[in-house]
Amino acid sequence: MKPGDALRDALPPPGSPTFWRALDELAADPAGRGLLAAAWPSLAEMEPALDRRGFLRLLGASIAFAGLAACSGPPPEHIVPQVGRDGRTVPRSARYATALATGADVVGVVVTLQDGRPVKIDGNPRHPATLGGSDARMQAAVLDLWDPARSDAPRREGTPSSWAAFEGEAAALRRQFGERGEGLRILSGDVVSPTLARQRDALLARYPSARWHVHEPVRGRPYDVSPDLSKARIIVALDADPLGRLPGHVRHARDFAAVRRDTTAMSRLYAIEPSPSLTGRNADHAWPVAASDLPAIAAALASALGVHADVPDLDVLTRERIATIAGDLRANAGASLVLAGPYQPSAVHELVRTMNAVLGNEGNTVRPAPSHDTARPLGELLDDMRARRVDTLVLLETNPVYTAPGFADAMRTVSRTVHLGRYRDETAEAVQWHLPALHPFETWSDLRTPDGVASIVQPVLAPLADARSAHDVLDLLTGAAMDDPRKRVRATWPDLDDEAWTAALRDGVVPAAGTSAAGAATAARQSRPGPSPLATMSAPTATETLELVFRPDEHLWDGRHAGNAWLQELPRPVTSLTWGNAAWISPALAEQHGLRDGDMVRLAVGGRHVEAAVLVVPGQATHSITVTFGYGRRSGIADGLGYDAYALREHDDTWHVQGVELTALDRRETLASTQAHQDMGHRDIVRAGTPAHPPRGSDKPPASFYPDTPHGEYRWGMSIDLNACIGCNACTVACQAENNIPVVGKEEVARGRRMHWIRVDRYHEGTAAAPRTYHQPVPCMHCEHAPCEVVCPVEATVHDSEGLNLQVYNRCVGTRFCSNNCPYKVRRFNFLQYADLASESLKAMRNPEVTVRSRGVMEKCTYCVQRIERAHIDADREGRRIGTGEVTTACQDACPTRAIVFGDLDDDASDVAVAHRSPRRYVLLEELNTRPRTAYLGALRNPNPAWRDA
Amino acid sequence: MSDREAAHAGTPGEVTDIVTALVLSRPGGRAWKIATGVASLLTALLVAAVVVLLARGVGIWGITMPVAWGFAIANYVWWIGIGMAGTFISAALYLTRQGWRSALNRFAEAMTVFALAVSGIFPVLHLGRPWFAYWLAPYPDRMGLWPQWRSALVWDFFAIAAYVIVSVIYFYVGLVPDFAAVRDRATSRGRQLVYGVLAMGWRGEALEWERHATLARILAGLAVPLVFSVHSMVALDFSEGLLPGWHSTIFPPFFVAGALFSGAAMVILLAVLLRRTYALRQFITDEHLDKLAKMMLAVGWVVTYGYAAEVFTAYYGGDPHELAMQRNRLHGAYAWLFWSTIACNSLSIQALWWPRVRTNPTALVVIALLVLAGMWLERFMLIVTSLYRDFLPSSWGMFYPTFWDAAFLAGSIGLFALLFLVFVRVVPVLSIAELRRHAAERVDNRP
Amino acid sequence: MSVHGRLLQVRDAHALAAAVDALHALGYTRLEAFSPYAVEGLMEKLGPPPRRIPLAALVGGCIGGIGMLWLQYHAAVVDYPLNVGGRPAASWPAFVPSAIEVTILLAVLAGYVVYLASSRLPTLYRPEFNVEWFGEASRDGFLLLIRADDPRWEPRRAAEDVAGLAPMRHAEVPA
Repeated sequence: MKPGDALRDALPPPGSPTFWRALDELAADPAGRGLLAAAWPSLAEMEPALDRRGFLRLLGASIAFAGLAACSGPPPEHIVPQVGRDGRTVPRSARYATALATGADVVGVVVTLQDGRPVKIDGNPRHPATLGGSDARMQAAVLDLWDPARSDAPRREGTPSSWAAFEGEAAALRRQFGERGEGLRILSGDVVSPTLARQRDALLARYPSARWHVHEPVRGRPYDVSPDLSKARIIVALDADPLGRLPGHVRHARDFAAVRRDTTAMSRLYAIEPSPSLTGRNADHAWPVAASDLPAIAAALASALGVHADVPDLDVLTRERIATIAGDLRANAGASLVLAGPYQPSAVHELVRTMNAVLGNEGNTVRPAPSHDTARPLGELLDDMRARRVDTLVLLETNPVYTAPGFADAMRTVSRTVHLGRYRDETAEAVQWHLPALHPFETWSDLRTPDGVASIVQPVLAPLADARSAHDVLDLLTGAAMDDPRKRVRATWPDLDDEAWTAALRDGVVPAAGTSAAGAATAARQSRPGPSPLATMSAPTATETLELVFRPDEHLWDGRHAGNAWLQELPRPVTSLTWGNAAWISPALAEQHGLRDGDMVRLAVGGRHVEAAVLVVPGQATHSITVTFGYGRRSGIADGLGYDAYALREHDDTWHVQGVELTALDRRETLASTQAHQDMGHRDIVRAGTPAHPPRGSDKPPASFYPDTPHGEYRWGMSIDLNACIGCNACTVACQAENNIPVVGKEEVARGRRMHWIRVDRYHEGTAAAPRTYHQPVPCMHCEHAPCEVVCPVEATVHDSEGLNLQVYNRCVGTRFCSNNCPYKVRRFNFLQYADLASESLKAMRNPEVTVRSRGVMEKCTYCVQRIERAHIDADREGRRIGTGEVTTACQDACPTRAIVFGDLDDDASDVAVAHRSPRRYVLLEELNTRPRTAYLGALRNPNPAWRDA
Repeated sequence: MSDREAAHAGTPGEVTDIVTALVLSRPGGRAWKIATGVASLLTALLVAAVVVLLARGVGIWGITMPVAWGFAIANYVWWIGIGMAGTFISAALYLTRQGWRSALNRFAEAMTVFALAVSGIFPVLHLGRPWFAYWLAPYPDRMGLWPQWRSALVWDFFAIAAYVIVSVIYFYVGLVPDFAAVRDRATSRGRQLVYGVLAMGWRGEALEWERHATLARILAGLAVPLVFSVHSMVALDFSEGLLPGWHSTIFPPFFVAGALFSGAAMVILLAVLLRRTYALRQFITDEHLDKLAKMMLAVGWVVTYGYAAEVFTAYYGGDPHELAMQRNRLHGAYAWLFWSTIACNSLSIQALWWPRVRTNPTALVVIALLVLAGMWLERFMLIVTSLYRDFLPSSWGMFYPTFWDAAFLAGSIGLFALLFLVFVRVVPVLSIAELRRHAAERVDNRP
Repeated sequence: MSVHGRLLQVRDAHALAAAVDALHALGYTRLEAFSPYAVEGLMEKLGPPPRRIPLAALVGGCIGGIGMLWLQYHAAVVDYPLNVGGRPAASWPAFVPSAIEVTILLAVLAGYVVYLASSRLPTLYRPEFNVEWFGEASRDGFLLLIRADDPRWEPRRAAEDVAGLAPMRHAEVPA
């Protein structure tokens, strides 16, 4: 009997409820180990390491699991795989639908497992919030899962403890809470899990005097409308960022790009904001305006639309522009959209609601979203703590010691503090009990988007750490029976029968019927009438007082993702900064104070101050200084990077303050930016135009001395639509995950040694005060006349018959001539040993189909050759050609706007062939006649001819 | 210029005694000891740097994207260029019957061999994986792979290999009769053995002399085209690339001239130091310095022409990328490199128009040092100014050297100095056989 | 004890040439002349001029050049053709540079090897070295050797004939 079979027989039948646990034990107990070793010799070498915690138990388990996946039937039925992308499940690889949340931003994802190990995450095509698209955070979540720095065991007063000990503690607590639960306070982030909401309500019912507070440091005003960009012809974003920060931004990006693909009915986007957001960078008219002036502009716009609001006197240009915008809006009444950002006061939101009503947009381009926000704000908690009314504080996956100034001091008055979190962060260090939290991929839960789409979160692997979920901790507090976590979630969805449940797991979306039930668990929206518009509107400050604007970090959000090295090293969309934050200042302000990028300044407001390096950001409002949260950490890999913007903030709902003092210090700090030059310098790099004058495409390639080389069965090519790309960088991190690309750290990035295979270049056009920005993703062009190949002395980079420019790592000696000779500079060199070959958990995370490169070797985009090869194998096995669209690249899968298409250029039906026939098609640096296989479609902007520039 | 005036030494016997004495009896002197000490320290630094490099990778240098080549390549090109003068002086001047070369060719050839040895370090060590450097050689590989023949790096590999082997042979062939002379003067058994072996049993028999002369002519005839081709290959390492500023047809002659230029400077430097330290005035005369200086001035002008031609072709051709590159070179972040190159290589040599300067050792040393520095700066300038801003502004970036970059440069100078200092003590620094002939002819033609 | 020949020293190059002529007149044919530098016209008296070295260099060069071109063609077109930058497999202009270098290299090597062979170098032991004043030949001495294998060799007569030339000094060279 083959050892493999022996192992399989030793396993419980698939689907038995204790499947995972059984595997853990199996991997842990010597007899089973022997079996595993015999079945998978590679595991035998790891034998000594097998005693190590979680992940190797898992590795054993997952290998055994892979054995099952390979030899016998489906994975255990209580977690349900989504059938493969194109109707095939690939052996040894399975895909599961689940969901992730950052604050209220819930995205449905599909997790790809290789040998039972999650290695890749993509948007769930069936989930309305993603439609298969990704954002950077989603793509990077897999690293969070395997992060060696994860907290792995409960700690009491900083010393290792056990869950058993905490269960004892919890029992004691319950006794002491008695009937009313006096002094019990719970602090969490937004409660977006219906199950968690159910448990919260249960807990509050059980302990009437307990209080549940919500702390979302960078969310701003709760999300209460959901726009539909697919219907909007005219979009006016008042400090709103539907493409970058608003919940559902992945979907919004898709809709936005879809509308603008049609040059005959292209939408027009006005972005009025104090500092550029991704939305502003993609606007047809970016209009930088101080945050404090926005209400006035909103009021003016409202009155221009016939809404009654008192309009402070504005300068001519402003009035003209508002008239222009209002005209556009009226002309497209019903198909227009005015959107106010979460950082704007309620007054502005009221105005915007009326404007949309007047324009008849409600129900068309914008729908009210039921807000689930019943929580008490953090302020109350702070007061209670200071007033010593709190004696037990439970912190669920939140880090207020870092994100809420003054929290640490207030918390000293609390006798018992319990913190649940994935990392031993600032709060974990400050509390009595730190409990490690499970990653969403390790537990049962459920999530609901603000506009009501619910998904079941199913575990795709055994916990890697001795951790538990927030649900478990709440059950411990209420003393509810510790039942099967799956049953606990299922209980939230009583009217899902087994079929519907299985379907919900498979599809990653709970059928609409199911939502109503859980909907009951959430209170109705409380309308919080803001003060009347008339009250708040102040005239624009003509004076030169500087204002401070608070914004979340584009990738790290409120800092919760600071432990993720991929996100740390991923250039921020607007600033292309990595590994740190800076104070954004406008070019005008920089000139006035003689500051340049990296100069240190002291920002002081209301007795609080920080020292930060400045970054000159084109398109920043003249007198606004933007600070971003997420840095100035005191733990983790981000320790010591950047500055802590929270230190400047009085309340967790302050979004901008007037009268900040800026003092230049005569010090400099290195900012690890990935792109120093953002001016095309009259070079033919990004071709742009308007619907009236579309960008010109390439004509036939220049003549060449070299005969056309006969090509093989397929002719792989790529096309990137610069009109669709919004520059979100999801492709870059997706590529990093797919291709095992190492991170190199701040110093190396600052030297210019980033390793990303696909980068997104940014070029500004027009004035520095209000530039027009274009984004250009640049992967390897796979030139048919590749300059890199000719200069390689050892045939380490050569062409294959299907047109791929191959890089043969183990033949490369590292002369770097290929990189010098690459006009697109897409080649990346391992100057040092970048790949982390030590951390075991990272080994498990890597894509087993992609080589990990060693020091001294050149690497670059391969068009995801491993996917092409797999398609070849499948096609050969089934004796057919590779189907149209069967092969996709990681960047293509991730792209929220579907800007990137890949496929066989000889297959006329393929998207890429269609794209290559577009009149907007052109190739980069055509004059060099390198004959790239990657082509671009020129960008389009739809400016209003009536618009007057400053 | 007749042979007679060149060598003023006395009879063949005296010539032999003086030169062999340098090896056999005369003490090195304090200058030699100090110089050797310093050179050894620098060489130790080089060794340390190499160890660190092999342990950590080329990332210890400042190279990055886009400037993936830096000091290492500049050092390589600089040193191999310096090597050229030795071969040129001994081969080309031999073919053109320039008798005065006899006082120079020995240490010039030695300089060539040592410069080559030093420069050879860099193409290997600058590789990401130096231990696989042999993959550039054609050999029956297990995977059936061959070098990529179209790559200028492969051409250069063959060029360097040929150049090293040929110049070593050339150097040694000339040495054999002199080793015999030392062997015959040596008193200690050890030296007799060593030099006896080195002399291979040379007796100075008539037919030996004849064959020796024949071989010398053939070697000279082959060495001249060789050096020209070698430095053309070095140039092709760059001009095969499509980068603005590299992709230029003038590069091969430009590099040959540059090589001869820096080489001449190094010969002048060594000649002055040698004759000062070991009182060899009667062999290395002011006329030698004068001729070398003239040579340097002439080649300097060719190099200057090269600079002008580069700028001219850029503006005349009007290719936007070429233009942008030239503008950066002349006014950009690295403009200081370009202008100091001009100052050292084009301006400083103009002093050589004055005969008094050409025979003034101190002035010559200063100018030679300027030219050597200028040529290094030029190599570095050519590399970095083309790389740091090429086609896509998004990928532009600066190059900042690290301590290890400097260590390799200083260390290579130390190694070269050390080799030469040892050479001075163990090998006849002048070609005894040739000087004997000149001396004899002078004696014979004495009225 | 066997004898290698008889060695004599004369004043200068002219004397050396004269001595050679005299000994030829006496019928000696196996003579070897040692001098600190090449003496014009001496070689013609003593033996045939060397022609093999240039020939060897020529042959070596041809082998190197043609061989290298063939190797590159074979490797790039026949043995392992690869699509490199869309260039034709037989991109002969790119094959020339390496060929040139190898041509010169093999020419030099061949010439040198033949030189060593024809001058019987290295031969570390030479009977002449037994004569302690032989070292003069590498300073300013002009020496002449009558080899014992000369058909006219007869020790006593050789000694007399040499003495007849009135050399500065002369001695018998033991083998």
